[in-house]
Amino acid sequence: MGTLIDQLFQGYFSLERSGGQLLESRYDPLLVTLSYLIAVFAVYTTIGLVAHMRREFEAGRQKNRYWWAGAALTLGGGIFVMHFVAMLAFSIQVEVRYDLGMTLLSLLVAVVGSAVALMQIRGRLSFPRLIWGGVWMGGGVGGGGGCGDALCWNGLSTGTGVATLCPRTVVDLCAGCGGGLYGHHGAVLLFFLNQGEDLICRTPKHRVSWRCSGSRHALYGDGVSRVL
Amino acid sequence: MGMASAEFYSGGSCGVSTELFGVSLEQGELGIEVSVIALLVIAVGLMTSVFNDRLNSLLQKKNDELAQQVARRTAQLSSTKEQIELILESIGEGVVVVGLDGKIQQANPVLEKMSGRGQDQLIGASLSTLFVETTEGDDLTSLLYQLSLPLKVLLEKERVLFEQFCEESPVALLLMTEQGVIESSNPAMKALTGWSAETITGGTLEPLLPEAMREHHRQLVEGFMKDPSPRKMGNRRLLPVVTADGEEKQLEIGLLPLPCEKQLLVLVVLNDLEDVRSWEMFKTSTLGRLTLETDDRVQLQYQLLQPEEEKLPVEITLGMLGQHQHGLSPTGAVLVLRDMSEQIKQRHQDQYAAFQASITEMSSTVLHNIGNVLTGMSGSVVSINQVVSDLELIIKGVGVMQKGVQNGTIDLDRVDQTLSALLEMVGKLCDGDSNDERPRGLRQQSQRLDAGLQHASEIITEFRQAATSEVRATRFNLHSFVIETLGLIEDRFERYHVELNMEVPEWIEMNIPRNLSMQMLLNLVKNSLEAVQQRREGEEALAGRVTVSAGAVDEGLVELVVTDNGCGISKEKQQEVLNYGYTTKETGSGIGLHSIVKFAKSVRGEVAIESAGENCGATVRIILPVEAQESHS
Repeated sequence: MGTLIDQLFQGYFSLERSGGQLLESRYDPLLVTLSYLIAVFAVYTTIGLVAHMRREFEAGRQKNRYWWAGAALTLGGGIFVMHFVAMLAFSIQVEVRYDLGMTLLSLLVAVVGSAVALMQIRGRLSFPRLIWGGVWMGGGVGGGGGCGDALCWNGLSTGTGVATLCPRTVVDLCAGCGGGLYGHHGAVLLFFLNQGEDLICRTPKHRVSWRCSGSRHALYGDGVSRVL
Repeated sequence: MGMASAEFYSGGSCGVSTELFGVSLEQGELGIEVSVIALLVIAVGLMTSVFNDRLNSLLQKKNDELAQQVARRTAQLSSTKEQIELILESIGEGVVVVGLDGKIQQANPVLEKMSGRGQDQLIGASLSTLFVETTEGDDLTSLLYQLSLPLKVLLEKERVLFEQFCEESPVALLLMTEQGVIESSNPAMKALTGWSAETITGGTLEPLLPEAMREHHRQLVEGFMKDPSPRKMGNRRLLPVVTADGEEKQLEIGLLPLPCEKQLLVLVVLNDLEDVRSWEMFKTSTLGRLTLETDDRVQLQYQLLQPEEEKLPVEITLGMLGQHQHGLSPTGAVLVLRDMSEQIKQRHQDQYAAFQASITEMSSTVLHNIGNVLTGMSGSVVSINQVVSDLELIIKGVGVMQKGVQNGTIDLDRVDQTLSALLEMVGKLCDGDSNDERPRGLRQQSQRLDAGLQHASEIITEFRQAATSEVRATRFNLHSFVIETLGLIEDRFERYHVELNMEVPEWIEMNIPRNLSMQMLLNLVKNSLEAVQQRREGEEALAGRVTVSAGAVDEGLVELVVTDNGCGISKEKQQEVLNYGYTTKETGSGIGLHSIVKFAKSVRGEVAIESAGENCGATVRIILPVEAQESHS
């Protein structure tokens, strides 16, 4: 048992344990800023798209699916790109290679997780839905970020990338789910705390007032991006 | 636990390359590129969301405005509807709204009262069930149908009806093709220009135009065909037309394009501006309405069926709902029913009063004439009395002579001489003096008395006949009839110093209601006398003249003409004076000429008035059949 856990965490923490002393690492402030802006901007856009989705859903129109897909792609894509750019901001003096399949899988996980989570908030949000949505959202964030992290660190690992990375991916996913549960919980709470007024701001004809809610959207994007 | 050393760097390159999908890129550049692409994609999503929201907001705003407008309009319509319902209920005449199928859609309480039916019986019922059945042409439902059809549809779908309308039109009509070829023309065209349908059909209008006009007309036709919009009547658009007799007439022309399925047809309306009567008739005809698209209401006389088979005379004013000129097809019609029973009663009373007045007037004339006869007779009576006195003297003389003979105081020779003288005297008293121009003997006086009595008897008989409303056709000689009739008012000519001329042939025999004819002629001559008197108010020295003439105009038709040199009638009033209640005289009732028209029509005759204008005299022409075809009371 101990061997398995060791094996699982061997590669994951190998950098801190061994390479940390050896590698010189740097953060590119421009890319860090861009990563942050992407997160805020993606969440801000998602809020708008979610508002449309909810409105269409409440009106019983099939058009809500397009808004839902758009919101999922924006949020999922945002999660993925935020992590991807953040990774690129982190530089170590080694050659880095990105695996196409893993990269796309990372994007896919983020989008699917976001999609399922967003599906939970189309109608009235109940607590079980919140939990269930939080799990998927967390999975999406963790998977999107984790899979992106699970790259082939050429020069650090000489084994097969997949064999070495699978345990790390699983750990990322689990951490993501746990973190996501918390994160999404917090995110959804934030959404309603911040958007509660925005939802109230809707006219009886379900019109979203962008002016009054714009700053809150940005704040919410900031909040969510921090959770991410 | 040792931590990896990390610090922020700037400048993008730290000398480490990254391989993405086999392409080696500098790590910082890759991050910027991915970020930019991601931001662009998210921006597209954001824009979509924002624009959609703006669009929805705009749409919502417009919807709200529209909803407000609809609400406002609905409120207006609702208010208008309430007003109309109130008007319908408070109006004093029967109002009924019908669909084009002739079914009643709405009726007001007055109509319920007039027809004796409730709303439940009226709504949905056929309009024709309300009225006494009439001939097919007068059927209200078919009239509604005809009025609802645009002329183009009438021409295409109801060609027979269209042609029937054209045949009956009092105004000349031509149907022409796009190429200017005359497809058909109506009888009124022949009456107006003398050109029959057979002569002009298939040709162009050019032979009917003056030579100088033809080229210009060709250009006008080309211009019309380039822009075939209606050329309406009433703009005094004149076309000179040469009649079959070679006379040139200026006719007003109107053009109505009728785009049919196969080709463009043009309905040409030609109107003689002087013939106001025909134009008025055309305007009120169904074809006239469809051609001119007038707003005029149709007025009809019908009898409304009431409970227990009673009939109420009503005048219907019919107006279509949704007129052609507003680009709408009619959806139905509104009929306003006016109870005419009181008016008809009043009219009868007026006519009776006029009749009474005429009788009174005639009575005074008759009494005057009888007075004249009696004056003549009284002279004879005086003469007879004188003869009687003479005879008494003779008797006395004979008595004295008889006593003298008996006493032997008178010899026989003297008696013989005296008797001879007496016999001669008695003879003169009886037969009059043959040397006198007017022998005044008992016999002549007796004959005069007899003649006077006969004359008086004749006058009384004529008066009695004229005073009765006997309307049976009787056979009479027109010449004698005119003399007798004029004899009744002979004294007026003397009194007013008006010359009377009579040109009536002796051979005309008539068989029409004599008494009504007599009243008609009396009315006409009386009017002429009054017209002369009226003109004299301005021209005291006027030598008044009235001429009564007659002659045969056609087989079985006689024209009776009364001409005077009185005050005349202006052109505008020439038609109106024939209407009931219209008069130009201060004391007139407007019944005289109307009753003449009524009588003439009752025997299928016609009345026409001609006058060159005020103070130019007037001529009344009455065409009467020799044999009355029917008579009406």
